[in-house]
Amino acid sequence: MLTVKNVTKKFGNFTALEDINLEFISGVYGLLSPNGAGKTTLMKMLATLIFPTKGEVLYNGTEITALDEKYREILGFLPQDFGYYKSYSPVQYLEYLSALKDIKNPKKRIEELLEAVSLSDVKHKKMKKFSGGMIQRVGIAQALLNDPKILILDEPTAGLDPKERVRFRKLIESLSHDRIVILSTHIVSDIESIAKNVVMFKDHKLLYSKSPDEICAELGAANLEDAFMIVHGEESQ
Amino acid sequence: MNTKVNNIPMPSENEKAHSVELIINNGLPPRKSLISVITKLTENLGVKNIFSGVEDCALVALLLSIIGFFVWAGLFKSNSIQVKCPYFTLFTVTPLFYLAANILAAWKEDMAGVTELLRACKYTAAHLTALRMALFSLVNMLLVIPSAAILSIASDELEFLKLLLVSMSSLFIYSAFTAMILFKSAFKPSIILPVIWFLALGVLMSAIRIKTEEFLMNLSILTFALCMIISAVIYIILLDIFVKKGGKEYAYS
Ligand SMILES: Nc1ncnc2c1ncn2[C@@H]1O[C@H](COP(=O)(O)OP(=O)(O)OP(=O)(O)O)[C@@H](O)[C@H]1O
Ligand SMILES: [Mg+2]
Repeated sequence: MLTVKNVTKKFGNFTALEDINLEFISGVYGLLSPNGAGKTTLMKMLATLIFPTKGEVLYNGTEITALDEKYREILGFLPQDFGYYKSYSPVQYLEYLSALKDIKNPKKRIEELLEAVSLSDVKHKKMKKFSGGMIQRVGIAQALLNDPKILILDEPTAGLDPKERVRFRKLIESLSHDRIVILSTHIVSDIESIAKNVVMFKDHKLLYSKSPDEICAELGAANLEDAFMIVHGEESQ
Repeated sequence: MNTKVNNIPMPSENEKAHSVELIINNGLPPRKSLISVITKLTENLGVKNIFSGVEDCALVALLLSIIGFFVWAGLFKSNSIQVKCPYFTLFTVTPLFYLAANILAAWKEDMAGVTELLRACKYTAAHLTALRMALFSLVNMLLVIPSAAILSIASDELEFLKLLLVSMSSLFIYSAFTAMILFKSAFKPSIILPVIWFLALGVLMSAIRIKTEEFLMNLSILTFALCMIISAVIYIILLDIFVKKGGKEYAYS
């Protein structure tokens, strides 16, 4: 179980997240909030890239930074801006990342994952020739390399076409039974049918961490998109 | 002695041992040392992949150093300023490869935007950086040997061993400073150190180069050997701390 306990994150004087309490057990958790709400900030803290100003993040009761590599071993992470080397092919890049993730005999796993994100045909092509959506799929594949217990995906569907989006949703659903999947998105349909909990922030505080149905019932909304508009519709951009 | 205090039931030796065992078994993993990271990562990556993505940076740095050396050797032969202070010049330019390779590699990783991704891997960007730094030092050391040999052959007054030790001292002093600022730079390429290094030594060079050269010339081989050993040890210790602290000290914010 991954626990976010009284976490506040400040950047200088600016409070990005305030006193957040969350529990992740297993299944899909969808972070659904407007730009600048703090989704990436939370995910970076969960991936040990930045650290809470106050509070702590615990995995089965131990601070994740103290767990160090034991935590990173079970972590899969896709940053919002997925970086790669242009002159590398997906296979080369995934082999490189497998070495850093300490994965033994990764070849078969890489083949399977590239199949799962429909990149088998171009697996030896240089990534500089790839479209944005194809790069994003390499990013999704690398997050899954170590069969992570905790999978954190920051806007994984950005740039994916509708067909790939459906494929991604199915992939995530099939993976979600025995692990924690936390993903952020702006597209309600990405998570509406598969998320066990939807996490919403308002004014940098936690508003909801509940099932889509519960949120809709509470707000009297017909669907999650309605619920989002009820919560954030009034906000000026 | 207060007998009441002595009546408080204390755990028996067995209980103590049991508790210690519990802590050890369930405790936190020990942080990896520099040596274990270097050997394990080299094994995982294979020598070829250690510089993945930054191969070109290492090559450019190598080229730069070789050109630099020949330019200097040319000046040396033409009897210009450097001939009057070979030790000082050698001290100044020795870390050129190490410096260029580190900065170019950090710059390239930053441009590619891979650092965040690498920091979430089991072996993190910090581990990879430490391994690359260690190897850059090694390559720089290998470059120093032929340079010192060529110089000592070219001139009767220059001693091979002393040239070598001056170079190595310079390399490890520079490396130790590099490791020190790693703690602040959070994987962003930092040109502060090379600027300070060349500025400070450049000022010395233009103002009191003869004096500095005499000073270096009068130092014994033993002094340089000690200097090299001490700075190398500091460098290794700093890299080891860098590896053990993992991400925590190096977060962006
Ligand atoms: N390093 C930083 N320094 C200062 N402010 C930051 C930093 N990182 C994020 N912020 C601020 O924190 C707030 C939350 O940012 P965050 O990236 O977490 O939002 P988000 O929910 O992921 O938005 P988006 O949907 O656009 O990705 C924003 O106002 C942002 O400007
Ligand atoms: Mg974001």
